[in-house]
Amino acid sequence: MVVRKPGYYGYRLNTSSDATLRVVLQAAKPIPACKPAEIPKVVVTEGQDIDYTMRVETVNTPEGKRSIMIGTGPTWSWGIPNSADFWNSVEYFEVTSEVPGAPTWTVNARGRTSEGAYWRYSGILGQSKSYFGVSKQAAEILDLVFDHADCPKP
Amino acid sequence: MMVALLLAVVPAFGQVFHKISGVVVDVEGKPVEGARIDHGAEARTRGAPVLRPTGGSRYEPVLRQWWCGSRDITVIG
Repeated sequence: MVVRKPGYYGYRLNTSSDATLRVVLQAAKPIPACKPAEIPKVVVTEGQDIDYTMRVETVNTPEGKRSIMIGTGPTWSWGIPNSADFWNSVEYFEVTSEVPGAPTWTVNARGRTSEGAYWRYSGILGQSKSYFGVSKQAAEILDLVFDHADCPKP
Repeated sequence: MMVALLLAVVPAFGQVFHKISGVVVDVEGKPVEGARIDHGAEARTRGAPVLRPTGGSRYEPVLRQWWCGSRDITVIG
């Protein structure tokens, strides 16, 4: 499970028996401002169904085309990463932050599963951006798109 | 903040609950109020658990998440 609070790094713990714990939350450092970066060419496809709209941003990586999925809709996201990805990760990192004026939190999380697959999630209830099951090299390329989507264009 | 949880870990034939108790503090040892606990029930992969509040904590049944208040809570999966 993970203990979350806006402004802190998530505290992940695995439980296998009864336990008494002292959960120490560390204050998160501010997210660095946009840095200049060479953004790869992105191919965008869009779709929708009765309860969501979706945008897929695809880039070329050494292992082929890999995508970031961005979606919005009442059943699109619980506002937290997929639990299976969370539980299967041998590396995990997350920061939670408040959404001004909204009763929801933003969770920014990333991890690497025991199979070596990298994943990333950023979302609130009903809206998320994510990728799953890619290599480290592909993840680094996807992160360029992931992190610079909201940066001002030069 | 005291936190008491009964976490559900569901093996193939029945349920096992883990009771996790403790405190949530910052690095200076000050209590951190209002933390939330997610991904707590491994049983979720076999169907969403039923979570029941027993204290003053806020419970959102749609989200299946907990906001830990200043009182003890129990999560039963």
